[in-house]
Amino acid sequence: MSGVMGRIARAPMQWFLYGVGGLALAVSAAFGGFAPVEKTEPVLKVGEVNAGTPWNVKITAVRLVKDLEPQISLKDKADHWLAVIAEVEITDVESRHDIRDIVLAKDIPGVLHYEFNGNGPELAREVVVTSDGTRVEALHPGLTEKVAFLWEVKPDSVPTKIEVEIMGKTYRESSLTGLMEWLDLAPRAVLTVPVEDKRNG
Amino acid sequence: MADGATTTRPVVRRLGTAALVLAALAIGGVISNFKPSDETQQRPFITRGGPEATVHTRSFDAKVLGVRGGEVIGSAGYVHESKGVWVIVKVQLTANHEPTRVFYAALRDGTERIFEASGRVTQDGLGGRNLQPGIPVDVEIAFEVPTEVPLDLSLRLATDSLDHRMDGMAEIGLPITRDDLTKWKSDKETMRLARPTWAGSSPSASTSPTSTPSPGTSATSTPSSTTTPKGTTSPRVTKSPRVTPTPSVRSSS
Repeated sequence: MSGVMGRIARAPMQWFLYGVGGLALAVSAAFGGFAPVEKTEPVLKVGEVNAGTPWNVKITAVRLVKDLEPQISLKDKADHWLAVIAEVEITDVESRHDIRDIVLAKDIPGVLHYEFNGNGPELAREVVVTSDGTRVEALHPGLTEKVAFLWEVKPDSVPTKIEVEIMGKTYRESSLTGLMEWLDLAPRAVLTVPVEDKRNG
Repeated sequence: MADGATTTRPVVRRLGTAALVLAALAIGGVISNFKPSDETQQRPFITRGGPEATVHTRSFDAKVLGVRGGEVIGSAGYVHESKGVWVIVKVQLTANHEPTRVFYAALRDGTERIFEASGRVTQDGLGGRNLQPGIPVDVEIAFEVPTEVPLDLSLRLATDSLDHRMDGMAEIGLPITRDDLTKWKSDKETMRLARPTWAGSSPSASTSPTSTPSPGTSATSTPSSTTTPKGTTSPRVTKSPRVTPTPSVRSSS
Protein backbone atom coordinates (compact mmCIF):
# COMPACT_ATOMS: atom_id res chain seq x y z
CA MET A 1 0.00 0.00 0.00
CA SER A 2 2.78 2.29 0.94
CA GLY A 3 4.32 1.43 -2.41
CA VAL A 4 1.20 2.65 -4.25
CA MET A 5 1.04 5.81 -2.19
CA GLY A 6 4.67 6.38 -2.84
CA ARG A 7 4.21 6.02 -6.58
CA ILE A 8 1.26 8.43 -6.45
CA ALA A 9 3.33 10.87 -4.47
CA ARG A 10 6.09 10.62 -7.05
CA ALA A 11 3.73 10.97 -10.02
CA PRO A 12 3.94 14.23 -11.98
CA MET A 13 1.43 16.91 -10.95
CA GLN A 14 0.14 16.86 -14.52
CA TRP A 15 -1.39 13.39 -14.02
CA PHE A 16 -3.18 14.60 -10.92
CA LEU A 17 -4.67 17.49 -12.85
CA TYR A 18 -5.85 15.12 -15.59
CA GLY A 19 -7.64 13.11 -12.95
CA VAL A 20 -9.34 16.15 -11.46
CA GLY A 21 -10.44 17.32 -14.90
CA GLY A 22 -11.88 13.91 -15.77
CA LEU A 23 -13.75 13.79 -12.50
CA ALA A 24 -15.22 17.24 -13.10
CA LEU A 25 -16.42 16.19 -16.57
CA ALA A 26 -17.98 13.02 -15.15
CA VAL A 27 -19.87 14.96 -12.50
CA SER A 28 -21.01 17.53 -15.10
CA ALA A 29 -22.26 14.75 -17.39
CA ALA A 30 -24.11 13.09 -14.52
CA PHE A 31 -26.06 16.29 -13.91
CA GLY A 32 -26.91 16.97 -17.57
CA GLY A 33 -23.95 19.09 -18.53
CA PHE A 34 -23.81 17.53 -21.99
CA ALA A 35 -27.53 17.67 -22.69
CA PRO A 36 -28.43 19.89 -25.68
CA VAL A 37 -29.38 23.43 -24.74
CA GLU A 38 -33.08 23.98 -25.14
CA LYS A 39 -34.34 26.95 -27.12
CA THR A 40 -35.23 29.78 -24.85
CA GLU A 41 -36.75 32.24 -27.31
CA PRO A 42 -40.34 33.07 -26.37
CA VAL A 43 -43.02 31.74 -28.67
CA LEU A 44 -45.17 34.52 -30.09
CA LYS A 45 -48.55 34.66 -31.75
CA VAL A 46 -49.31 36.48 -34.98
CA GLY A 47 -49.99 40.13 -34.22
CA GLU A 48 -47.97 40.24 -31.00
CA VAL A 49 -45.23 42.84 -30.75
CA ASN A 50 -41.75 41.60 -29.95
CA ALA A 51 -40.06 44.61 -28.39
CA GLY A 52 -36.31 44.92 -28.12
CA THR A 53 -33.16 46.33 -29.66
CA PRO A 54 -32.50 47.57 -32.20
CA TRP A 55 -36.07 47.12 -33.44
CA ASN A 56 -39.61 46.23 -32.40
CA VAL A 57 -41.28 43.71 -34.68
CA LYS A 58 -44.88 42.58 -35.15
CA ILE A 59 -45.50 39.78 -37.64
CA THR A 60 -48.96 40.26 -39.10
CA ALA A 61 -49.21 37.63 -41.85
CA VAL A 62 -47.39 35.28 -44.22
CA ARG A 63 -48.61 35.11 -47.80
CA LEU A 64 -47.81 33.58 -51.15
CA VAL A 65 -47.96 36.26 -53.83
CA LYS A 66 -47.27 36.40 -57.55
CA ASP A 67 -44.68 38.66 -59.10
CA LEU A 68 -44.36 42.22 -57.83
CA GLU A 69 -43.25 43.80 -61.09
CA PRO A 70 -42.05 46.34 -61.87
CA GLN A 71 -40.49 47.10 -58.48
CA ILE A 72 -39.20 43.62 -57.72
CA SER A 73 -38.55 40.84 -60.22
CA LEU A 74 -38.51 37.08 -59.74
CA LYS A 75 -35.51 35.24 -61.10
CA ASP A 76 -37.87 32.74 -62.66
CA LYS A 77 -41.26 34.04 -63.78
CA ALA A 78 -42.85 30.72 -62.87
CA ASP A 79 -41.85 31.10 -59.24
CA HIS A 80 -43.72 33.08 -56.64
CA TRP A 81 -42.91 34.99 -53.48
CA LEU A 82 -43.35 33.91 -49.90
CA ALA A 83 -43.94 37.18 -48.07
CA VAL A 84 -43.64 37.66 -44.32
CA ILE A 85 -45.54 40.86 -43.54
CA ALA A 86 -44.30 42.73 -40.49
CA GLU A 87 -44.56 46.10 -38.81
CA VAL A 88 -41.09 47.27 -37.82
CA GLU A 89 -40.10 50.18 -35.61
CA ILE A 90 -36.42 51.04 -35.19
CA THR A 91 -35.58 51.56 -31.51
CA ASP A 92 -31.96 52.43 -32.21
CA VAL A 93 -31.05 56.12 -32.30
CA GLU A 94 -30.19 56.16 -35.99
CA SER A 95 -31.45 54.85 -39.30
CA ARG A 96 -30.60 51.22 -39.91
CA HIS A 97 -29.69 49.46 -43.13
CA ASP A 98 -29.45 45.87 -41.87
CA ILE A 99 -33.11 45.29 -42.56
CA ARG A 100 -32.71 41.78 -43.93
CA ASP A 101 -31.40 40.66 -40.54
CA ILE A 102 -34.70 41.43 -38.79
CA VAL A 103 -36.64 38.30 -39.74
CA LEU A 104 -35.57 34.83 -40.82
CA ALA A 105 -37.85 32.11 -42.15
CA LYS A 106 -36.91 28.53 -41.41
CA ASP A 107 -37.11 25.49 -43.61
CA ILE A 108 -39.00 27.06 -46.50
CA PRO A 109 -39.69 24.29 -48.99
CA GLY A 110 -38.49 25.05 -52.52
CA VAL A 111 -36.78 28.29 -51.55
CA LEU A 112 -34.44 29.76 -54.12
CA HIS A 113 -31.15 30.13 -52.27
CA TYR A 114 -30.09 33.73 -52.50
CA GLU A 115 -26.74 33.23 -50.84
CA PHE A 116 -24.87 30.43 -49.15
CA ASN A 117 -25.58 30.33 -45.48
CA GLY A 118 -25.13 26.63 -44.73
CA ASN A 119 -28.23 24.85 -43.54
CA GLY A 120 -29.37 27.76 -41.40
CA PRO A 121 -32.44 29.92 -41.90
CA GLU A 122 -32.56 31.83 -45.14
CA LEU A 123 -32.23 35.61 -45.24
CA ALA A 124 -34.95 37.37 -47.19
CA ARG A 125 -34.01 38.10 -50.77
CA GLU A 126 -35.83 41.43 -50.80
CA VAL A 127 -37.60 43.71 -48.35
CA VAL A 128 -40.22 46.13 -49.67
CA VAL A 129 -42.59 48.71 -48.21
CA THR A 130 -46.09 47.25 -48.54
CA SER A 131 -47.76 50.58 -49.30
CA ASP A 132 -45.85 51.34 -52.50
CA GLY A 133 -43.63 48.31 -53.19
CA THR A 134 -40.39 50.27 -52.97
CA ARG A 135 -37.28 48.43 -51.89
CA VAL A 136 -36.37 49.15 -48.26
CA GLU A 137 -32.84 50.51 -48.02
CA ALA A 138 -33.19 51.87 -44.51
CA LEU A 139 -35.73 52.25 -41.74
CA HIS A 140 -35.73 55.22 -39.43
CA PRO A 141 -36.07 55.64 -35.64
CA GLY A 142 -39.59 55.88 -34.29
CA LEU A 143 -41.27 55.43 -37.69
CA THR A 144 -43.28 52.23 -37.73
CA GLU A 145 -43.23 50.88 -41.27
CA LYS A 146 -45.15 47.93 -42.68
CA VAL A 147 -42.77 45.89 -44.79
CA ALA A 148 -42.73 42.55 -46.58
CA PHE A 149 -39.74 40.20 -46.32
CA LEU A 150 -39.66 38.21 -49.57
CA TRP A 151 -38.30 34.78 -50.42
CA GLU A 152 -38.56 33.41 -53.94
CA VAL A 153 -39.91 29.86 -53.96
CA LYS A 154 -40.49 27.24 -56.66
CA PRO A 155 -43.94 26.90 -58.27
CA ASP A 156 -44.71 23.62 -56.53
CA SER A 157 -43.88 25.03 -53.10
CA VAL A 158 -47.14 25.83 -51.34
CA PRO A 159 -46.48 25.57 -47.60
CA THR A 160 -49.44 25.85 -45.24
CA LYS A 161 -47.43 27.20 -42.33
CA ILE A 162 -43.95 28.52 -41.77
CA GLU A 163 -41.71 29.09 -38.77
CA VAL A 164 -40.41 32.63 -38.47
CA GLU A 165 -37.64 33.87 -36.22
CA ILE A 166 -37.42 37.47 -35.05
CA MET A 167 -33.78 38.36 -34.63
CA GLY A 168 -32.10 40.84 -32.31
CA LYS A 169 -28.66 42.34 -31.81
CA THR A 170 -26.61 43.59 -28.86
CA TYR A 171 -24.88 46.95 -28.68
CA ARG A 172 -21.42 46.28 -27.30
CA GLU A 173 -17.78 47.03 -27.82
CA SER A 174 -16.32 45.10 -30.72
CA SER A 175 -13.29 43.06 -29.74
CA LEU A 176 -12.01 43.59 -33.29
CA THR A 177 -12.32 47.36 -33.69
CA GLY A 178 -12.74 48.56 -30.10
CA LEU A 179 -15.79 50.55 -31.24
CA MET A 180 -19.34 50.16 -29.99
CA GLU A 181 -21.28 48.17 -32.58
CA TRP A 182 -24.48 46.18 -32.97
CA LEU A 183 -23.32 42.57 -32.88
CA ASP A 184 -24.39 39.06 -31.93
CA LEU A 185 -27.31 38.53 -34.31
CA ALA A 186 -29.45 35.95 -32.52
CA PRO A 187 -33.07 34.76 -32.45
CA ARG A 188 -35.20 36.78 -30.05
CA ALA A 189 -38.59 35.15 -30.58
CA VAL A 190 -40.12 32.48 -32.75
CA LEU A 191 -43.59 31.97 -34.12
CA THR A 192 -45.36 29.60 -36.44
CA VAL A 193 -47.53 31.43 -38.93
CA PRO A 194 -50.20 30.02 -41.26
CA VAL A 195 -49.53 30.81 -44.91
CA GLU A 196 -52.29 32.52 -46.92
CA ASP A 197 -52.28 31.75 -50.63
CA LYS A 198 -52.85 35.09 -52.39
CA ARG A 199 -51.35 34.21 -55.74
CA ASN A 200 -54.67 34.76 -57.43
CA GLY A 201 -55.30 38.08 -55.75
CA MET B 1 24.24 44.70 13.26
CA ALA B 2 26.00 44.55 9.99
CA ASP B 3 24.41 41.12 9.32
CA GLY B 4 20.96 42.51 10.11
CA ALA B 5 21.41 45.36 7.67
CA THR B 6 22.51 43.07 4.88
CA THR B 7 19.43 40.79 5.38
CA THR B 8 16.85 43.61 5.56
CA ARG B 9 18.11 45.56 2.55
CA PRO B 10 17.06 42.96 -0.08
CA VAL B 11 13.63 42.70 1.55
CA VAL B 12 13.17 46.45 1.50
CA ARG B 13 14.41 46.53 -2.08
CA ARG B 14 11.92 43.87 -3.12
CA LEU B 15 9.07 45.62 -1.32
CA GLY B 16 10.04 48.85 -3.02
CA THR B 17 10.06 47.15 -6.42
CA ALA B 18 6.65 45.64 -5.78
CA ALA B 19 5.30 49.01 -4.68
CA LEU B 20 6.62 50.66 -7.85
CA VAL B 21 5.06 47.95 -10.02
CA LEU B 22 1.72 48.39 -8.26
CA ALA B 23 1.95 52.16 -8.61
CA ALA B 24 2.71 51.83 -12.33
CA LEU B 25 -0.27 49.52 -12.78
CA ALA B 26 -2.53 51.88 -10.85
CA ILE B 27 -1.45 54.90 -12.87
CA GLY B 28 -1.87 52.94 -16.09
CA GLY B 29 -5.36 51.91 -15.02
CA VAL B 30 -6.33 55.49 -14.25
CA ILE B 31 -5.01 56.71 -17.61
CA SER B 32 -6.77 53.87 -19.41
CA ASN B 33 -10.07 54.66 -17.69
CA PHE B 34 -9.94 58.37 -18.31
CA LYS B 35 -8.63 58.46 -21.87
CA PRO B 36 -11.22 59.28 -24.53
CA SER B 37 -13.02 56.29 -26.01
CA ASP B 38 -12.32 55.13 -29.55
CA GLU B 39 -15.62 56.70 -30.64
CA THR B 40 -14.56 60.04 -29.22
CA GLN B 41 -11.11 59.88 -30.74
CA GLN B 42 -12.47 59.03 -34.17
CA ARG B 43 -15.58 61.21 -34.20
CA PRO B 44 -16.12 63.44 -37.24
CA PHE B 45 -15.01 67.06 -37.25
CA ILE B 46 -18.39 68.78 -37.18
CA THR B 47 -18.75 72.38 -38.27
CA ARG B 48 -21.99 73.86 -36.99
CA GLY B 49 -23.99 76.83 -38.15
CA GLY B 50 -27.43 78.35 -38.13
CA PRO B 51 -29.95 78.43 -40.97
CA GLU B 52 -28.41 81.53 -42.52
CA ALA B 53 -24.80 80.46 -42.21
CA THR B 54 -22.53 79.11 -44.86
CA VAL B 55 -20.91 76.18 -43.12
CA HIS B 56 -17.40 75.24 -44.15
CA THR B 57 -16.03 71.70 -44.02
CA ARG B 58 -12.73 70.34 -45.20
CA SER B 59 -13.99 69.53 -48.68
CA PHE B 60 -17.21 71.51 -49.24
CA ASP B 61 -19.32 74.44 -48.10
CA ALA B 62 -23.04 74.15 -47.43
CA LYS B 63 -25.83 76.64 -46.95
CA VAL B 64 -29.49 75.85 -46.33
CA LEU B 65 -31.77 77.71 -48.74
CA GLY B 66 -35.11 76.50 -47.43
CA VAL B 67 -37.30 73.72 -46.13
CA ARG B 68 -40.71 72.39 -47.06
CA GLY B 69 -42.72 69.31 -46.27
CA GLY B 70 -45.81 67.23 -46.79
CA GLU B 71 -47.21 63.75 -46.48
CA VAL B 72 -46.72 62.57 -50.05
CA ILE B 73 -43.80 62.58 -52.48
CA GLY B 74 -43.93 61.53 -56.10
CA SER B 75 -40.84 59.87 -57.54
CA ALA B 76 -40.13 57.73 -60.60
CA GLY B 77 -43.82 57.43 -61.36
CA TYR B 78 -44.83 56.31 -57.89
CA VAL B 79 -46.48 58.07 -55.00
CA HIS B 80 -44.85 57.58 -51.61
CA GLU B 81 -46.90 58.30 -48.54
CA SER B 82 -45.07 58.71 -45.25
CA LYS B 83 -46.17 57.20 -41.95
CA GLY B 84 -44.66 60.35 -40.46
CA VAL B 85 -43.95 63.42 -42.53
CA TRP B 86 -41.64 64.18 -45.44
CA VAL B 87 -39.16 66.99 -44.91
CA ILE B 88 -37.39 68.40 -47.95
CA VAL B 89 -34.32 70.55 -47.40
CA LYS B 90 -32.94 72.71 -50.15
CA VAL B 91 -29.21 73.27 -49.73
CA GLN B 92 -26.47 74.91 -51.72
CA LEU B 93 -23.26 72.89 -51.96
CA THR B 94 -19.89 74.13 -53.17
CA ALA B 95 -16.74 72.02 -53.42
CA ASN B 96 -13.66 73.69 -51.97
CA HIS B 97 -10.51 72.45 -53.65
CA GLU B 98 -11.27 69.46 -55.84
CA PRO B 99 -14.26 67.71 -57.38
CA THR B 100 -16.35 66.34 -54.54
CA ARG B 101 -19.51 64.32 -54.06
CA VAL B 102 -21.72 64.56 -50.99
CA PHE B 103 -23.10 61.10 -50.32
CA TYR B 104 -24.34 61.50 -46.76
CA ALA B 105 -27.26 63.59 -45.58
CA ALA B 106 -29.20 63.14 -42.37
CA LEU B 107 -31.44 65.01 -39.98
CA ARG B 108 -30.49 65.12 -36.30
CA ASP B 109 -33.42 65.60 -33.93
CA GLY B 110 -33.56 67.15 -30.46
CA THR B 111 -32.68 63.85 -28.79
CA GLU B 112 -29.67 63.19 -31.03
CA ARG B 113 -31.47 60.62 -33.16
CA ILE B 114 -30.26 60.45 -36.75
CA PHE B 115 -32.61 60.14 -39.74
CA GLU B 116 -30.74 59.47 -42.96
CA ALA B 117 -31.99 60.68 -46.31
CA SER B 118 -34.76 58.47 -47.59
CA GLY B 119 -33.99 55.63 -49.96
CA ARG B 120 -37.64 55.42 -51.05
CA VAL B 121 -37.30 58.24 -53.54
CA THR B 122 -34.72 59.08 -56.18
CA GLN B 123 -32.26 61.49 -54.58
CA ASP B 124 -30.43 63.15 -57.46
CA GLY B 125 -28.88 65.62 -55.05
CA LEU B 126 -26.89 63.00 -53.18
CA GLY B 127 -23.78 61.40 -54.60
CA GLY B 128 -24.70 61.56 -58.23
CA ARG B 129 -23.66 65.15 -58.77
CA ASN B 130 -19.92 65.77 -58.93
CA LEU B 131 -19.39 69.21 -57.41
CA GLN B 132 -16.68 71.26 -59.12
CA PRO B 133 -14.62 73.65 -56.96
CA GLY B 134 -16.15 77.06 -56.60
CA ILE B 135 -19.33 76.27 -58.52
CA PRO B 136 -22.34 76.23 -56.19
CA VAL B 137 -25.08 73.70 -56.88
CA ASP B 138 -28.57 73.78 -55.36
CA VAL B 139 -29.94 70.38 -54.39
CA GLU B 140 -33.03 69.11 -52.61
CA ILE B 141 -32.86 66.19 -50.20
CA ALA B 142 -35.86 64.32 -48.75
CA PHE B 143 -36.14 62.83 -45.27
CA GLU B 144 -38.86 61.01 -43.35
CA VAL B 145 -39.35 61.78 -39.68
CA PRO B 146 -42.13 61.06 -37.17
CA THR B 147 -44.61 63.91 -36.92
CA GLU B 148 -43.85 64.20 -33.20
CA VAL B 149 -40.07 64.22 -33.71
CA PRO B 150 -38.35 66.18 -30.93
CA LEU B 151 -37.11 69.56 -32.15
CA ASP B 152 -34.74 71.21 -33.05
CA LEU B 153 -33.86 69.56 -36.32
CA SER B 154 -30.45 69.97 -37.93
CA LEU B 155 -29.13 68.91 -41.31
CA ARG B 156 -25.90 66.90 -41.41
CA LEU B 157 -23.84 66.52 -44.56
CA ALA B 158 -20.66 64.57 -45.31
CA THR B 159 -18.88 63.18 -48.32
CA ASP B 160 -18.83 59.50 -47.34
CA SER B 161 -22.14 57.70 -46.91
CA LEU B 162 -20.94 55.26 -44.24
CA ASP B 163 -17.55 56.05 -42.75
CA HIS B 164 -17.48 59.38 -40.93
CA ARG B 165 -14.46 58.71 -38.76
CA MET B 166 -12.36 61.87 -38.50
CA ASP B 167 -14.08 63.22 -41.60
CA GLY B 168 -15.43 66.69 -42.07
CA MET B 169 -19.17 67.08 -41.50
CA ALA B 170 -21.50 70.08 -41.73
CA GLU B 171 -24.37 70.53 -39.29
CA ILE B 172 -26.88 73.27 -40.01
CA GLY B 173 -29.85 74.16 -37.82
CA LEU B 174 -33.17 74.07 -39.67
CA PRO B 175 -36.00 76.58 -39.18
CA ILE B 176 -38.70 73.97 -38.61
CA THR B 177 -41.36 74.29 -35.91
CA ARG B 178 -43.98 71.94 -34.49
CA ASP B 179 -46.64 73.89 -36.40
CA ASP B 180 -44.76 73.28 -39.64
CA LEU B 181 -44.67 69.53 -39.04
CA THR B 182 -48.36 69.40 -38.11
CA LYS B 183 -49.29 71.42 -41.17
CA TRP B 184 -47.13 69.30 -43.46
CA LYS B 185 -48.63 66.10 -42.10
CA SER B 186 -52.09 67.17 -43.20
CA ASP B 187 -50.90 68.30 -46.62
CA LYS B 188 -51.80 65.56 -49.13
CA GLU B 189 -50.55 67.34 -52.22
CA THR B 190 -47.84 65.36 -53.99
CA MET B 191 -44.42 67.00 -53.81
CA ARG B 192 -41.52 66.38 -56.18
CA LEU B 193 -37.84 66.83 -55.61
CA ALA B 194 -36.14 69.42 -57.79
CA ARG B 195 -33.20 68.24 -59.85
CA PRO B 196 -29.81 69.64 -58.85
CA THR B 197 -29.12 72.94 -60.58
CA TRP B 198 -26.13 75.20 -60.90
CA ALA B 199 -26.93 78.03 -58.51
CA GLY B 200 -26.34 80.67 -61.14
CA SER B 201 -28.92 79.15 -63.43
CA SER B 202 -31.42 78.11 -60.81
CA PRO B 203 -34.83 79.62 -61.42
CA SER B 204 -35.49 79.29 -57.72
CA ALA B 205 -32.32 81.03 -56.67
CA SER B 206 -34.33 84.08 -55.65
CA THR B 207 -36.73 82.07 -53.56
CA SER B 208 -34.36 81.54 -50.70
CA PRO B 209 -36.31 81.48 -47.42
CA THR B 210 -33.63 83.34 -45.63
CA SER B 211 -32.40 86.80 -46.21
CA THR B 212 -28.84 87.45 -47.29
CA PRO B 213 -26.62 86.22 -44.49
CA SER B 214 -25.33 89.06 -42.44
CA PRO B 215 -21.59 89.40 -41.88
CA GLY B 216 -20.35 87.09 -39.23
CA THR B 217 -22.89 84.38 -39.76
CA SER B 218 -20.31 82.10 -41.24
CA ALA B 219 -19.87 79.13 -38.96
CA THR B 220 -16.68 78.31 -37.19
CA SER B 221 -15.17 74.88 -37.28
CA THR B 222 -15.47 73.13 -33.94
CA PRO B 223 -14.09 69.67 -34.37
CA SER B 224 -14.45 68.75 -30.76
CA SER B 225 -17.09 71.20 -29.72
CA THR B 226 -20.36 70.09 -28.22
CA THR B 227 -22.05 73.42 -28.66
CA THR B 228 -24.80 73.75 -31.17
CA PRO B 229 -25.16 77.30 -32.29
CA LYS B 230 -28.58 77.73 -33.73
CA GLY B 231 -30.00 80.51 -35.74
CA THR B 232 -31.94 82.69 -33.38
CA THR B 233 -33.26 85.52 -35.44
CA SER B 234 -33.33 84.07 -38.87
CA PRO B 235 -36.51 84.36 -40.86
CA ARG B 236 -38.44 81.16 -40.52
CA VAL B 237 -40.00 79.16 -43.31
CA THR B 238 -43.60 78.70 -42.37
CA LYS B 239 -44.98 77.37 -45.61
CA SER B 240 -43.45 76.64 -48.91
CA PRO B 241 -45.62 76.41 -51.95
CA ARG B 242 -45.97 73.02 -53.58
CA VAL B 243 -44.47 73.16 -56.97
CA THR B 244 -44.79 70.53 -59.58
CA PRO B 245 -42.75 69.68 -61.42
CA THR B 246 -40.17 72.31 -60.44
CA PRO B 247 -40.42 72.95 -56.74
CA SER B 248 -39.20 76.11 -55.22
CA VAL B 249 -38.87 77.30 -51.69
CA ARG B 250 -40.12 80.59 -50.35
CA SER B 251 -40.07 82.43 -47.14
CA SER B 252 -43.14 83.94 -45.66
CA SER B 253 -41.27 86.42 -43.57
